[in-house]
Amino acid sequence: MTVHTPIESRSRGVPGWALGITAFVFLVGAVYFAGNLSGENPPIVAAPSPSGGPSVEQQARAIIAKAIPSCVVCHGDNLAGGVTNAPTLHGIASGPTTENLAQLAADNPDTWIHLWIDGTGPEVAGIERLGMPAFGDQLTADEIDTLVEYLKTLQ
Amino acid sequence: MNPAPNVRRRELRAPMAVNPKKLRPYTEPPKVRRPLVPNAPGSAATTFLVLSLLWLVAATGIGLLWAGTAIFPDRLSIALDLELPIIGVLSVDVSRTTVEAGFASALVFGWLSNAAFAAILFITPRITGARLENDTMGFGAAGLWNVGVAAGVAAIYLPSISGTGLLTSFPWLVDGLLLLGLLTVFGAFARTIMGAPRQLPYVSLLFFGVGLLAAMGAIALVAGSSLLTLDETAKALVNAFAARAIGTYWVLGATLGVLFYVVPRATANALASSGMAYLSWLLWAAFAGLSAVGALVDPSVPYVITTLGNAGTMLLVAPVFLAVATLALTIHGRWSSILSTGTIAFAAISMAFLLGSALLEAIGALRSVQALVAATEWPMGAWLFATLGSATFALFALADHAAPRLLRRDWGGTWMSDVQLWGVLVGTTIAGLALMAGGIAHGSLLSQAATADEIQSTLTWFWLAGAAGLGLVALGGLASLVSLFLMYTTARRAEYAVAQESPAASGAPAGAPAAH
Repeated sequence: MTVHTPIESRSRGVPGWALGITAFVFLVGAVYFAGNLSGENPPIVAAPSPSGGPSVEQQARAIIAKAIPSCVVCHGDNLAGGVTNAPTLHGIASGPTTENLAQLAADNPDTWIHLWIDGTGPEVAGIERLGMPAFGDQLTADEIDTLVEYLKTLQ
Repeated sequence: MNPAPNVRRRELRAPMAVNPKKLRPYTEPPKVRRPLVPNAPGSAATTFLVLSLLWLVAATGIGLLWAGTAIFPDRLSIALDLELPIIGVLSVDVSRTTVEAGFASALVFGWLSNAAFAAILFITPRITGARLENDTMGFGAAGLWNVGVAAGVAAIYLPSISGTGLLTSFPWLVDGLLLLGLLTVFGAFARTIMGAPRQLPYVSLLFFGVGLLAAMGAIALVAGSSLLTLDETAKALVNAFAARAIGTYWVLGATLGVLFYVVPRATANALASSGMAYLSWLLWAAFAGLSAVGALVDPSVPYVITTLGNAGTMLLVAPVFLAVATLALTIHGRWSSILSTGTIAFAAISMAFLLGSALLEAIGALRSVQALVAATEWPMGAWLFATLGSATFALFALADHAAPRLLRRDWGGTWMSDVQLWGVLVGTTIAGLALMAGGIAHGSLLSQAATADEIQSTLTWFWLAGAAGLGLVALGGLASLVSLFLMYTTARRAEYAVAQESPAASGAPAGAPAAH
């Protein structure tokens, strides 16, 4: 048979040192919050691939880091533009964000991003590149495809 | 004529209707008729405890398979379409993703939740002084919950009906069963508290109450999102929020609630400071929800909101620190007890893991760390510290304290208890550290633009260490089940002493633990 016995307490108060450490943790949280007010979250759908290999986002991030110059140099850390006059890459799944690519996208609706990043094909010859380098010499077609797949997820 | 002599003669003949040879001898106690569903005090808690240990063995087995699918992704992955007579074509997918979800679900919903329910049903009557209302409800909850979890873990491998996410992969019908089970446990818990004398509930009950409500909310949210037509991003956000809330509210809440009960009871010391304990509960209740907001990582969510959630994860260090400090001060004077395997040793290990995992979660919430390791093995390594480390050891402490009292056995443990403690302690440490180190290596390789083959070959070594750790945890889990079996079958029966009564006076065995 068991009976109820309350659990007693030696003290009801909160010691000063415990309040001090709690206040310190609050301070660290506040400093972190104040230092991270602006930016952009990565997409949530970028989960690791079932095979255990890197996800599309991870592969794309690696390709972006490998490219010279890296995409982020002109398009910004989150590829949202704003560093130079390079446009944002968010929302390009629904079409180009600059006028110079309107015709290319109209002629090649499924492949225009790939063609533009590659930059060595006849389809893009004569289009004003506005400072955008051609990456066809340093990235493989598969790598550009991975990059395009990732860029299309940016909203 | 006087009728009295005739009446007296009938009275003398009547009692011979029963065969005297079948009557119970006076030296035998009366036989107790057992109902189909037992309703003796503690019987529902015992059921949950036994089921939880069975789930621990199953979950750690799935954990080993999970490590195997990471080491041999091609050999251990199965994807096939089965032709069934009535159902038609049924796709089965056994891959790293599905096995990982199965492992996490079996661990959290199978082992940890069943053990937490056992803790709630064991502790609540002993703190309030009111009998559990009632054990039959507890049995119903055990049935609903475990049928649901078993069906859900099986359904994870059927992509046509399963959901997505680490703890949100169950079909909505299974979520409904789990919700009913939770509601039943909450009903028994709330009715017991309502039947007790009115006073501020002990802090453990506050942790359990908020944890149960939050778990119900999270599971209802996931079930609701499955029924609504949401786009993939919205569903992924809901799932991420719910999974995080289950971790911060339910798993962490149950862990803290159990420790706040077990440590004062096992040490026979008074709680060091009720003020620190209640402050810990208040801060936990506020920041656990905020921390779940930090899981909303998507461009559609304002950056500042996610940052606020990350700050909440960092601030969770405060309540965890307050709780661990209070409990450490409560153990004061009984520290030598941690040198022998038992309730206090289990609780002390849980406290160490608790502080460690809170700090690791806080580090993992930093944006710069997230950028490097968010999509690697790191989060699972930190998660193992929280689930197999702090929560598992807290519930081991509860099982070590509660099982002899529930089964009424005089039990001092055997070498099996040492296997349980050291197997799970060393295994969790190795597995957690291996995965976190693997996550850092993985993140570095990604930033160096390594190929998938290079990453796989490097990570194999970390996963081998992780598999060894998970193997030790599985051994420890098996030892805990065997230990319970040995306690029931070999230990002598003992009634635990009534409070304020000496063991000699109550007939309890010498050296038997105190009451409660």
